[in-house]
Amino acid sequence: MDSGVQLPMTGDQQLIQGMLAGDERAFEAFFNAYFARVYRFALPRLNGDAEAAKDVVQATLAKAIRGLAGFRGDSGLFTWICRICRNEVVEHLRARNRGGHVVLIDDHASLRAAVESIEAPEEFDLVKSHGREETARLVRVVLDRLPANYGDALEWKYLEGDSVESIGRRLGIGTVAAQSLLARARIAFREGLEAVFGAEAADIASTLGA
Amino acid sequence: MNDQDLERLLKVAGPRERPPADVEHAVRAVLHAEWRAMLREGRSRRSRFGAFALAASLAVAAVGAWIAGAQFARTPAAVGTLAAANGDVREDAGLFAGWRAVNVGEVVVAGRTLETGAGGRAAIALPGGMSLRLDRDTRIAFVDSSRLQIERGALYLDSGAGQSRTAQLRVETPAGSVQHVGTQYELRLLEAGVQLRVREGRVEFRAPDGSVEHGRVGEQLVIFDDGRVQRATTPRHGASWDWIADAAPDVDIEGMSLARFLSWAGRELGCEVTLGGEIRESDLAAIVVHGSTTGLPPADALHAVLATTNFLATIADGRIVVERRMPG
Repeated sequence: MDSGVQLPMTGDQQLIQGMLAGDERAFEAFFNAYFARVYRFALPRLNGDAEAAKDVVQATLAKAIRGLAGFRGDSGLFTWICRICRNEVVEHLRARNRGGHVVLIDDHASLRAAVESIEAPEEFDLVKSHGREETARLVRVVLDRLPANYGDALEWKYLEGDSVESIGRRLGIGTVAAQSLLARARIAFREGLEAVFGAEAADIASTLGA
Repeated sequence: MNDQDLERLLKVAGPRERPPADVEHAVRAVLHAEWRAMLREGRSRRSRFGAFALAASLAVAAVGAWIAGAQFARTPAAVGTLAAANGDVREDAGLFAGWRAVNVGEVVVAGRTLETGAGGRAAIALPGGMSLRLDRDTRIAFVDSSRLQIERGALYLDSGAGQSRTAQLRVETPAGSVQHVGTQYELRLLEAGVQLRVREGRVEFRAPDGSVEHGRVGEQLVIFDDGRVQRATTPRHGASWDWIADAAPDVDIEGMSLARFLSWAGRELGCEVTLGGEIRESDLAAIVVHGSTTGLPPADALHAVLATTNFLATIADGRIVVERRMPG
């Protein structure tokens, strides 16, 4: 009997049930799915203060873990965690009497709604109004907003040049499942780009100067 | 959107930033301890064990206070949770607090010395599914979540089955340090060196002079302070490993599949699980176990659980052989 197989843990509800049942694999899946994404969410809102980001992310995820049993699923798990994180950022800045709350491009009310729902298109020239770096960051935000593993799979495939077999191994799933996940990830990414930028990947890449 | 467009955009946008590894490691340890404390609190409430619930609540309050206070002051980092205590287990809580008993469910923090008494054994749950066991009369101190020092006695580390294997723990001894590579091993301090017994996987021993010795599964290494190394074979099961089971934490079997329960039992007992006859692993995966084996050592828990099924198990020669129970 192979006791070394790492079962894939997919779906918010499955993850939450596993966490509440004390399944170590669920804790690992939860941490691996959300830690880096929440860190990237918090860091720019704290002016790049890495020490503060560590404290805020820790407090955010601790509160999320404590609140899992009450998570109703009205939004995606990551969206819910990001809301907790926003509050933690505000609390952190307030505790340190730092009024300089960082408002990011994706905190802009209409864009935030698009990023959170990946539904409503917002058409304006982001590069012109916010600059190339901020726009590139927003592309990475869209990756982070995709369901767990999608962003990782796309980066592994297109930035690191991983094969589908290798991606399957990294995710603990088979090659066919990895192929299917990549296809879904591409669709979700395209939809996310269209919701946030109102444009396709080729146009955004051209605008960014590729 | 074709593949080329996608690749072009991702390349021009650049890779997403990775948090620093030390931050990831530290936060993982704190959250793991917080999660374990939360679970313990819930179980205590359900079990209505007043005193136990109080201890767990205190632990949770301590973690909560730590997390809330983390924004204001540097405090000791949580590295794990005491998962089982058999007899006297205590920690040095500082200059003014002195030695105090540690209860199951309490958070273990870096920088404090933890010891078992002459009749005590303990298990500590660590991030990444790792389990650390302390034999009698053992003293350790975590430097941080990835490093501990052992002053006396013996410990056993199980890096966990089916885990991501990303969690690492280096054990430092007066004679050198030990790093595991996905493994189960025992380390015992001797008068003039250390003894390592490898039950699964591989360990790396690094002496202060930089020389490295590798221990493989089924090997026993005695590394003397003067640099001599003696190697011998060692069984992966049997009486010399019994203390590991004695220090094992209770496992919550409610809702667990029989396949996973057998995997746990095999790991605790150092045995390979063998399915007899026509039994398939999928048969066992489909059976859900209910109830509790609290207080039972792994071998007794195995027989107790299987008694409620159509299977029985025989433990012999490093194997748990599972067979169908004969009718009648």
